[in-house]
This record gives sequence, structure tokens and C-alpha cells, in this order.
Amino acid sequence: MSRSCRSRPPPGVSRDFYRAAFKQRKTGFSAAQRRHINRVASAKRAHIVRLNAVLGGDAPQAGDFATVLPKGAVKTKARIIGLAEQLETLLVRTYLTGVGYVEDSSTRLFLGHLLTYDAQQLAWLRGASGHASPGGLLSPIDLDAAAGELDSFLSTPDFPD
Amino acid sequence: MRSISNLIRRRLRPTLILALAIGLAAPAAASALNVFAASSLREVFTQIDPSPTYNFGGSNQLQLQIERGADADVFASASSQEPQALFKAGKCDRPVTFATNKLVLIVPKGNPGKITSVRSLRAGGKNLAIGNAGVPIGDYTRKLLRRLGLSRALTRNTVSQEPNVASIVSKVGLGSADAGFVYVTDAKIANNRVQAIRLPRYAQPPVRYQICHVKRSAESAAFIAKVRSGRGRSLLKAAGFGLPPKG
Repeated sequence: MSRSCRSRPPPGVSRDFYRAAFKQRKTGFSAAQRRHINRVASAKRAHIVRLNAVLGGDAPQAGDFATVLPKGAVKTKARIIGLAEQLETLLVRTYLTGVGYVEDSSTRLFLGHLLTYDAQQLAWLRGASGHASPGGLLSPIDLDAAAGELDSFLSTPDFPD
Repeated sequence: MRSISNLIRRRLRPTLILALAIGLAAPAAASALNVFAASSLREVFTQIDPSPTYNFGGSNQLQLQIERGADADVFASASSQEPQALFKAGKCDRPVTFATNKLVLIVPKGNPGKITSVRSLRAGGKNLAIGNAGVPIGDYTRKLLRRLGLSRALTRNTVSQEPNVASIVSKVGLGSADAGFVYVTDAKIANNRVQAIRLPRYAQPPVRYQICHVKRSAESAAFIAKVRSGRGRSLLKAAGFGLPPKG
């Protein structure tokens, strides 16, 4: 399939962020680390496709909103890792809430899979930055707080503020 | 000569006065243009152009009326579904998007139901006003709740289903419902009676208003041009609507 025939990807903040981080040159990451970031971006896309499959016809479509990253978010390795840790922590805590409260067992299992992946990515980020793993456990997040945090990365330019 | 002029004056004056009186007493002739528009457009459309004869209602009801032959010249809907269906059936020209909107949760002033977020509805036991399925506001609300994983709010609370967004605002404004889902523009109009609680951006369904000619005429073209003009866009923006790119 030619590139022009491919459908626009569904919206996703973490996928867009890793894609932007991969595209940015001279950030200080090694070649192996850049390949890893590229793989994560692809994995995130696959996660979004599966999440959207669960939501069916109600899933967000390309164009519903756009990702807005803070200025200079992918300029240096330190900034990329800082924002990636913030995003992965948010995702892990959100999936943890889902695992704890979703009643449907198959959805809970799916969220558990996503939680496992993102927890591994969080560990990779901490290794790459030289940060020690925290001693305590991450707690589930209130979904209103999670939505507020996620909204700060989203823009709907043609829609009212 | 004077007598002739007096005669003309005497004869003409009563005629002239009568004609003026008839002119003044006659009711203003009804506008030739019939605009069928979504309830949420009531305030802004009458500001953009007060002269047409308006029929405001739920977009799906208006679509049905047009399908059954109602005398509409222009149709403005709160979603693309209705005008696109009419377009496919050959009952209107190709619709264009002229405004966008988003949903909010409204509660009566003072918030007697103590609803602080959409997730407060999960606990149940509240009176909730939403649009009927099939009305754009009703479909958007259901979609938003599904995206939030909160569809059960519709079974755990006492839900009244309303034919259009104006009825939802009335119910909540009068305190007959603890909360309701409406467009941000309706919440803005009724801000002396209701408080708005914002909803997450990621769950917002894209609300696009479309307009089309049902019967193309110079008047219908002029009306649509007014809605899409710089002034029309300014008034829509002031009312809280979003605007699609110009084109």
C-alpha cells in the first residue's frame, strides 16, 4: 500500500510524543536507544488501535483532537525522558485504576496487558536517565485528575475552548 | 386654477391618508424564507438575521418534516447526519459545516444534587436529563458516556429523555433534574440558572453543525452567506461556538 493510501492514524498523545522524539535528531540518545523509542512509538500505535477496537464506533477518530506537546519537549534527552516519565506514570496509574474498577473481565485483562507494557517502558526510562526506581508503589489515579492532565496535551482547534 | 388644485387636494388627501393607514395597519408580510434550524441555534440565528420565518426544533424532527414535504428553504442541523441523509435522498444541496460545539454537564444554580464531576453520576440516584436517542444532543451524550465508560449512568440514575436541547436546559434550570448534558453554548445562555461542569476533551464527540439549501433561491443563498460571513462567524464565536476553517 502506498503511503498516500494509508488511513490517518487515530489520535494518541504518547504515540505522537515518541514519534516526535524519534524524529528529532541529536538529542543525545544512542542508536540503540533511538531504535527502542521507535519501537515504543509503533507499539503505542498498536495499543491505540486495540483500545479503539474495544470502543468500536465510539472511538475517537483522526481529526477529533490534536496532540500539543510543550515547547522544546523533544529537544534534548533529558526533556524527552522527563516528559516520557510523566506520561508513562499517568498511563500506568490510569490503567491501574481500570484494573481495579472495571467490571468486565476481558477489558480488565486488556488493561492489565497495557499496564504491564507501560510499566516496563517506565522502568526503561528510569534506567536510561540513571534515576533510581522509586521504593514505593504507584497508586491508582482519580480519573478526573487523569483527564485533566491528559487534556493539557490535547487541542481541538476548530472547537470551542 | 386654485379651485382645480383644491379639488385634487380634497380628493387625493383622503385617498392618500387611507393608503398610508392601510400601509401602517397591515401586518408585516411574513418572510418568504423558511429556515429550519436546530434548537441550539435559536439565539445566534435570530441575531445573524431576524427576518426569516424560523422553525427551531430537534434536528432529527426537522429532517423528518423536510422528508415529508415541509416548506423549508434552509436546513441547519446540530450534526452532519441529518443534512447528509437529506442530501443523499436528493432533498437538499451538499451541506457545509459552519460551526462546531462541545458538550458540558449542567446542574442547577446552587447544585442541589452535589454533582462535582461527570463521574458523580456513577453512584446513581440522581435525576438526569438527556436528549432522546436520534436527536443530535442525545446521540452525542450517549457517545460521550460510552467513551468515558459511564454508560451505566443511564441505568443507575432516573433519566428523562427530552426532544431537544432547550427542554434539557429548562428541566435543569427549573431544578426538575439534578443534571443534564447540553452544548456549551446553551449553558452560556442560561448561566443565570445553571452551572456548567466541563467534560474531558478526549471524550468529546466532534459536534459539527451543517447547513444546506432545501430549496435554492437568492434568499436562501443570501441567508447562508450571512451565516458564513465575517459578521456571522463573529456572532457565532461570541455565542460560544467553534468555527471551522474558512472555505
